[in-house]
Amino acid sequence: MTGPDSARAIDVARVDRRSFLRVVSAGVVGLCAGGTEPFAAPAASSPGRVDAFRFAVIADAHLSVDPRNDRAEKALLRAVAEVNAMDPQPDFVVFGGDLARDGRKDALAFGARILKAVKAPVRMVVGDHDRHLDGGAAWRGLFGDEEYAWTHKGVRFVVVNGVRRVGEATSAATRDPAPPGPLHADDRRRAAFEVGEEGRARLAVHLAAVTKETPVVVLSHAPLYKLHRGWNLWTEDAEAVHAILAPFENVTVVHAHAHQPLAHRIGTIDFHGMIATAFPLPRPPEGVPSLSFPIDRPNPFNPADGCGIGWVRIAADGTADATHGLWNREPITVTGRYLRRAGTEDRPPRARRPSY
Amino acid sequence: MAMKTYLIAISIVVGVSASQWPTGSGADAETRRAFPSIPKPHDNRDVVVDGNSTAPGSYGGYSATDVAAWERETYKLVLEGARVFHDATAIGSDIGVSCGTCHPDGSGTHPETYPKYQVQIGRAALLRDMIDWCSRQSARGAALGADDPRTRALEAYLTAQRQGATIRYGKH
Repeated sequence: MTGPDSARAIDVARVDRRSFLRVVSAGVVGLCAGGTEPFAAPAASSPGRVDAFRFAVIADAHLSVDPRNDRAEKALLRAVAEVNAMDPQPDFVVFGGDLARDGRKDALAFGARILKAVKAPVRMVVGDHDRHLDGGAAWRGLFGDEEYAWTHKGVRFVVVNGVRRVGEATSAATRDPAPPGPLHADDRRRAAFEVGEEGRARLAVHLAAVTKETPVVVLSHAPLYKLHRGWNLWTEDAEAVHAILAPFENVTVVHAHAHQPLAHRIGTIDFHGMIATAFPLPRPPEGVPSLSFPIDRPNPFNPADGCGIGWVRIAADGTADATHGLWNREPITVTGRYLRRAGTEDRPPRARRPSY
Repeated sequence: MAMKTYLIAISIVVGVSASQWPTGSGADAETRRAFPSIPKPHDNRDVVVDGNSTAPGSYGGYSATDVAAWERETYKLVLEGARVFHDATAIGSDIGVSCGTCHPDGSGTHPETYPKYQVQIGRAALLRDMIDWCSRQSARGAALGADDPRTRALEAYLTAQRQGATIRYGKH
């Protein structure tokens, strides 16, 4: 075989084989231990038509237990109340990561208590801030494995840990230590994200359970592509991750982390970046996909502006339409059709004024 | 004898001056490593003339040492601003929120649009007014007065980050 496609396939096979057996054996152990979200592959399901449904997304709460962080707390409470008020109820609610501002165990537990009020089942995604202090140990203690999968109404959902730091698996020095010095609060100085060899192997195992025609939704905190390294909107092994997803006809990545709506399509993969509850972030200075659309600049005097919740509707053909339920504004829907028609149809409303 | 004493005095002054800004060490060096993309101040070497020049004008007679000192001191203030900007504790935030949390690399602060009338503040606001507002309201940090060293450093950093932007004061 020649050409880039065959070279990519060979590369994926080589990378994944090294971790495959380790991951499968770990999954069997997880099953034996009675884990509720085993990542071992269940029996392959036959492709069938999707029963249309929707799920809600809450993300980037950035909680701390300090009572002066009342805005983050109130915003998450508002998000929970709004999701609980959705009629009909979403089939489940994805929390997209960064529950805690700095990964402290008490802050994570505080967030867990708030999320217990969600009426629909909650599916957790780990964020970089959640893993800030201990590499995710406290998070896993509360919520279980960082990577798992399930099939819902004909759609394969796979949760990945997209916020491993490059090199953390092999270097104790980079295994997610809190950076020393007074700049500790700024997370962007740290190594770029990667799914990593083990994460990619788990993703492959989770996808091996279904046929290539089965619609796939990947849930990640980080965008899983290369946007702007300076702000840690960057997945170092993005190409290898995409190669694992490439054989599937219908793939949607739903992510958080950017604190703003993002839209992208790479190959056969749709990407929807969801908004935060805690605070919005400015548009990155480079790397913003052409299908992404700026929203009007959030008003700093209204801390809820630019924030909100989201929901994703999965159509019968497996395409995903993401809606950004911005507080104070009309919701904005980015359809799968918009992404797959290269932005020529279903264009979401554009910002009225350019940003600075 | 008098000339010798004069030269010794000069040497001491130069030595002290140089030691105030040791190259490649200290907090400023760490900040420079952390934020290597902060633009340097304007290059003023064009105002350097020979020390014996009789060129007219107030900018005649400055030496390369003078110009280097201007740049050093200005950049030092900007780097201090970068440090404060990315340190939640420096602005007294006990919820772990720094300026850089919401404004990575100073983005979304647009210092070139000040002064402008801010209804919420009730007057034509300067950048320093918004720095103070953000510290208190968004970071739950300290009140930063107009002459607070942190305010001055933050203002310097934000301005430096918008090197080349067109001033459009009053723009919303």
